[in-house]
Amino acid sequence: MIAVIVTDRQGVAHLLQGREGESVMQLARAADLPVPGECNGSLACATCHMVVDPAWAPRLPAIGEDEEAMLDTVFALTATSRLSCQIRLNPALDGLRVALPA
Amino acid sequence: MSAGLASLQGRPAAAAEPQALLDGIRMRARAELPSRAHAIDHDGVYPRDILAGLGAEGLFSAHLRAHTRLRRADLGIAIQGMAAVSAECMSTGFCTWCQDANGWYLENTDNTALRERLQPGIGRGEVMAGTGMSNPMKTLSGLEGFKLKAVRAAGGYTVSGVLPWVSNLGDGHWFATVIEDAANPAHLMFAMVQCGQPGVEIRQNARFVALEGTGTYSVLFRRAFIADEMLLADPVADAVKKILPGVILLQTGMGLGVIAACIQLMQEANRTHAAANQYLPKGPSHFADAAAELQRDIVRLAATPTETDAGFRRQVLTARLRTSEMALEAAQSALLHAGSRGYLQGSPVNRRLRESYFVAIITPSIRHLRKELASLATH
Repeated sequence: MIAVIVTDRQGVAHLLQGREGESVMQLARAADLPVPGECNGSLACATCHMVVDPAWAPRLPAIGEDEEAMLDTVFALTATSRLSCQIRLNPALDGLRVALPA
Repeated sequence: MSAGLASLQGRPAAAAEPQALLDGIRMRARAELPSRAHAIDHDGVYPRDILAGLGAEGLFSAHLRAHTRLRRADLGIAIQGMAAVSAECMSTGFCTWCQDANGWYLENTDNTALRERLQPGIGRGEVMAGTGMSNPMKTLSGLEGFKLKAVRAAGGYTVSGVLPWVSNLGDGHWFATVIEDAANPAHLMFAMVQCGQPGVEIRQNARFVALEGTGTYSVLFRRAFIADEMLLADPVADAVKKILPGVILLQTGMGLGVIAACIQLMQEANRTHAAANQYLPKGPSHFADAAAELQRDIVRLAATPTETDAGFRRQVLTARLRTSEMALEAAQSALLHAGSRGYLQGSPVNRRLRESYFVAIITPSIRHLRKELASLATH
């Protein structure tokens, strides 16, 4: 299992465990965190927006054109914002830290 | 008004009878939609030319005071016209609802300049329009948060966010939606937006199980400027409360059309399988009676569409709920009547099942309606 630490809006860190290939969005939803993911990962909304820990951001796959377009609509965009539906777990991401946006 | 002036304003000199208007819509729908319904529903062909023709028949203006061909604006006739279209192809019926709803927003705005600018073309089907009200309706019911946020700028607002699914869109099409003031979430504004205006982009990233040709897109707002003159209401205050009963009642046209089509499918199946079908719990005559009663109730409610009291609201939500549940039941019954030939890919029953699911899940969905009705019951 691959560990992901998600910090919620109250500052509480949740240790989640997932399988390779699962998305961080799926993991967060399964843990009942408030991550709607309304388009179910089809890059038609930005409701799974998360902020990646700056130390981890360079280790994620590059942002695709569709994801970049969606992120550009986010009101509270940060330098390390990502759509969590696009972050697929792999062993190199074990210990990934992300936070729900303010 | 002279005939010449009437013609210049796009209105006939003599008012049409409601039945004649509906007959014209029905004839055009029957002539043009059956052969293209599969391409619209499945292949994603947007029926722009058909919608233009239906607009020329008066489909999109029946409920608009300044543009109807009837003696008076009639939301009930607009619903029945949509039902006639949906009986042939509910994707086209859904586009009709989008167009009708947008015309309805303009009908009820105090921004007369905006109404005079956009409503004539929308009423005639020359300018196409959608409605981005799913998110606002859900948010006002406490089901999600506003997806569009604005900051004040000189002469308007700068807006960012994304609306996941808005329909009857294309380049240059218009839609209406509600935007939240980022500095003051209690301040909401109701605005008309044009696809392709600076900062507003439509993207089609998802595929659906039906209604692929309805021009359904995600709408991306990237610091888009919405000028004050494009606001239908600011603040929203009671504007949305006033338009919602009409919008929800209009949706029933889709369901009534699907139910009518399912009744026809049951009747067709009975021509060869009546001996066995008679043992099914409900047949075409049951649904015909139930649909007629439902339509009577809807037309009665549509006669006073801007009432806002709780009793009226409860009746509207109940009629909408009955429409969804009856459409689901009628589509299932059509399949049971048709048997295996209804289970084939491309069968009319197949499409009707998928269309009925859409009636049940489009905002307000069955769960949303039941939540609202439960909330009203406790007040």
